[in-house]
Amino acid sequence: MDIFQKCKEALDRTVRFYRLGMEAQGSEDFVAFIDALMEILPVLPPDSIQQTNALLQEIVHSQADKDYLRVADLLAYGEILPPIMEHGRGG
Amino acid sequence: MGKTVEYLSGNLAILTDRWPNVGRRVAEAGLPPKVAVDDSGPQATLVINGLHLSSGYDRGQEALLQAALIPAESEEAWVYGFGLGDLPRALLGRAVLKRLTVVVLNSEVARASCHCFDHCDWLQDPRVNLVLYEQERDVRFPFAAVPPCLQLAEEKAARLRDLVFLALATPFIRSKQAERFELHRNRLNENETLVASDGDVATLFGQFPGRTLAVAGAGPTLSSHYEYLREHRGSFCLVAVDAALRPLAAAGISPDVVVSIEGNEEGLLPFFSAVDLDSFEESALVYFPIVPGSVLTIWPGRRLTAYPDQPQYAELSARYPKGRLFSSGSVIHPAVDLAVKMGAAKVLLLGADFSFPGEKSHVEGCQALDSVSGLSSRDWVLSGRGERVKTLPNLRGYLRDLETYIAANPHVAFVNGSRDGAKIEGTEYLGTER
Repeated sequence: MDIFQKCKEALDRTVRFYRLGMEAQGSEDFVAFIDALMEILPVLPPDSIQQTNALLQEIVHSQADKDYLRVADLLAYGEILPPIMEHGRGG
Repeated sequence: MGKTVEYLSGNLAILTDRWPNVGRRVAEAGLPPKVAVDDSGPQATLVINGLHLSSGYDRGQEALLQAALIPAESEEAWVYGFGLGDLPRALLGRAVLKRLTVVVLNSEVARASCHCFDHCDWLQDPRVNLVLYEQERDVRFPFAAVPPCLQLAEEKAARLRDLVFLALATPFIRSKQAERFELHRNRLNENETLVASDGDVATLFGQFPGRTLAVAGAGPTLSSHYEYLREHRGSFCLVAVDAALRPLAAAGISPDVVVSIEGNEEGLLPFFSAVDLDSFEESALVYFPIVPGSVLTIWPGRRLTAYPDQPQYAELSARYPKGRLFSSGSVIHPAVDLAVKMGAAKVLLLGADFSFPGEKSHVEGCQALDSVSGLSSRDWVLSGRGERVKTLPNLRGYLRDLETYIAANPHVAFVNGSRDGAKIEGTEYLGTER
């Protein structure tokens, strides 16, 4: 599995487990998502990096505050994934 | 609170008509300190004390995901948390469902939700039963939960909240335990010679019939009992967890039995290697065979093997049958079970805090001691003084498992040494026991 797919799957699992109230499992996948994202970020175009960083800041803040449904929304609907997956497809 | 249509009177009228006790409680409740409607997304949601009560994008889809925890063929289901009503609605969409019990975990949260959102449709469904948390002692299955409502549970609902979280986390906890076991599976082969020649924990069972036994955990309050332990040391048998060994030794206290169950050498070895073990020649080490050989072989006293009730040990325990001890993630569990099996009529719990009183993770002198001031205050338990004290979700799980164990052993009196750590249901406090 490539890093882009790994990133997407970790994001999907985080969203799912946080919505279900399975905090520990969600947080483990959240860490896996962040790890994958950190690998991807350097190869993204500068405007995508800026956009992703801004969103990431809000996500991390909500995660630290344990506002898990907000984290799930930001991950699922916050447009963090499209530029990543687009780049993964060679876009 | 932002601009909203006022729904409270309509919702309250149904509540009061169908469930007068719930209606009264919600009517009398105030609003939580911080309530806001977040309508920045496609769908409005409620934010209470910084927690979103639902998705702001697709509440229906989120509720369907949560409802999927309940098997499609279930005729009965429980929902923990009032939420915005999306989860009950998702379940009531199932024709097969005959009865749905919704447990209110916080009347202020329910009031805020009733104020800002219309709940009349699902509240009028004849299949719905609404109850307050105090009407439900244990988790009922099958269930689904509104996670932020668990986080916002009232203090008196904390036990039920923890049991729900524990039930949600159990499959993950089991998989992590299996993962950890696999990591150290070779240990069972490496330790086989020791297991074969070492003693059996069962030889301790029944040795102190009707007596008082003390169990020393490594929580911050252990140090407040040193004087008591020194004064009464001759009058009871002392069972200590491995992490308490060094602090006890520094206080000049030798336990009769030390219990060790972990496989992680890096974390475990310092508990033993940083202590002058010569003074423990008279103490027995009770261990699970997953404990590293590097720990077992430096122990100067006798070693006694025990098994947890886990299938991974079936083969080894068939070859070398030994006594079993209750194990549910924390070393305090088998330590307490050992005290009970040794015949205790009374078990004193010392340093069994399941929380971080004084913002400390462990007792002074323990290698694992860490400051917890940076931890979120969202995870808490009530102390024996009725105050919130910081903890971690896994410690809450260990606490509730111990309480379940205590409830299953009514012939033993359990006494908690300190009110500063978590209140342990089923225990009395030292000096106040009947």
